[in-house]
Amino acid sequence: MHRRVEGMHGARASIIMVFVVFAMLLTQSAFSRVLAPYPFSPYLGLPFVLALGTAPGVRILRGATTAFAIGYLYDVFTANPLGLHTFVFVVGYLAAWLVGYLLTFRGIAFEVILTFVLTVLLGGLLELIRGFTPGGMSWNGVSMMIALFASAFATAFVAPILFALVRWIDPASARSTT
Amino acid sequence: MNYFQTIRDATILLALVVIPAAFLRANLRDPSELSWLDGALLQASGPVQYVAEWAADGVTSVIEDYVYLVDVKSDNDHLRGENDRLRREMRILRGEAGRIHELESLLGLRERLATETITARVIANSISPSFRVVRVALDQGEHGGVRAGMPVVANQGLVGQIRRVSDRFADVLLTIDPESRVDVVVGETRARGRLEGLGERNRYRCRIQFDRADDRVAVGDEVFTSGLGKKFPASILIGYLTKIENQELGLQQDGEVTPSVDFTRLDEVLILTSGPKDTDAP
Repeated sequence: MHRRVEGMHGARASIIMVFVVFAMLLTQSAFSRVLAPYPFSPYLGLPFVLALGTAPGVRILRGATTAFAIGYLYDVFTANPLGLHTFVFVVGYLAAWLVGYLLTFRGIAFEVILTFVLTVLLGGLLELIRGFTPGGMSWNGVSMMIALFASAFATAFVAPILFALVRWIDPASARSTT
Repeated sequence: MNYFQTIRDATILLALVVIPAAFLRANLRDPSELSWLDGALLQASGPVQYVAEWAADGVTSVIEDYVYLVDVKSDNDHLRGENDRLRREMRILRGEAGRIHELESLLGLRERLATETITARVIANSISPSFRVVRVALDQGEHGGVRAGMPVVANQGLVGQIRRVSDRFADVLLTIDPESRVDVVVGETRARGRLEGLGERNRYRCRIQFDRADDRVAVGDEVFTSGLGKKFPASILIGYLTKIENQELGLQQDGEVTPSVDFTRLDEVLILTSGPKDTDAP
């Protein structure tokens, strides 16, 4: 019974997180025209996925489902082939879960470094898959690296705030599983 | 967690990776090479993606429109400020154009009068309690050759004569002042008379007393200086006859004259210097 109540709380927190990411994506897509931060455009949804992956209190199934939903939102918003971000975000979640399982080290530095490294790797994976898209964008190597690292830097910069936001939305993510 | 739950979770987890990978594979493949599974996946994903994109586009366009409106407001403020500035400049230019027109008219008047003149600018209007001009000061004085008694004319007609002169300034005795006396002729009959200011506070009027009671004059006749007494050159317009009194009695004929000059709007005037230079004003 207690486990079922906890599951409902978790599901509600995940739904709220998806809506928060949805709102952030809307805001980012609307204001990017005005602010024009390229290439420093953060992947605002990714820290949510990584925070869930490294949170000891979140069940892997719920975390992966949430990552799936957030990735799907990205696919819709970025007009990419359906499944691209969904796939990469679920993979990213699993990678973060593995890191969180192997390492006990936590804190702001961990969040920043983890976000930076995984954003670069997952961004690289995205570009690699995009390379197979018929008629897809052909990147210049240097400009792709600049875009990848600048985006990772911007994402890592805001990561501690978004990790804290995840803990605030889902207090269970701060607790260890029993 | 029992064995069954572990298997279930692992299966769902695998599905969460495989399903997007399958969608992705179907989307990335050449449409001519699609298998039946790829086709089914695309068929399934199409409507979902359409609805999701429609919702996202709707919300995004609302926000973008708002951002656009913020830009419009800022543009609006900028244009409003520019509009105000241009209106101010237009008012100034209109004023300048009016002044130039007045100066051109004065130039024409100077040529018509064929006398030596000094152009002077009105620097002060003394306003009575009922907002009527009763005295005018000019920016020319003795240094400029101005003397008391010199006639002052504007484009519309006679203003008056110089009453007092200092080094750099001069006061004008207006035709409407009770102290003012001007010999005049009226209308086509050239009826002679003597014009005095009424000095009324609420209106600009002069009184005319005709020399002969049987002179035929009518309301609306023009009143000019006669040139008698050599105080004023002849044929300078003073105003229009607006009222005739005692015409039927045959003893003495009087009337009222409305000056042609609008004393409240005087800006530039001419002082006629070649006429008589009396030292005492009438």
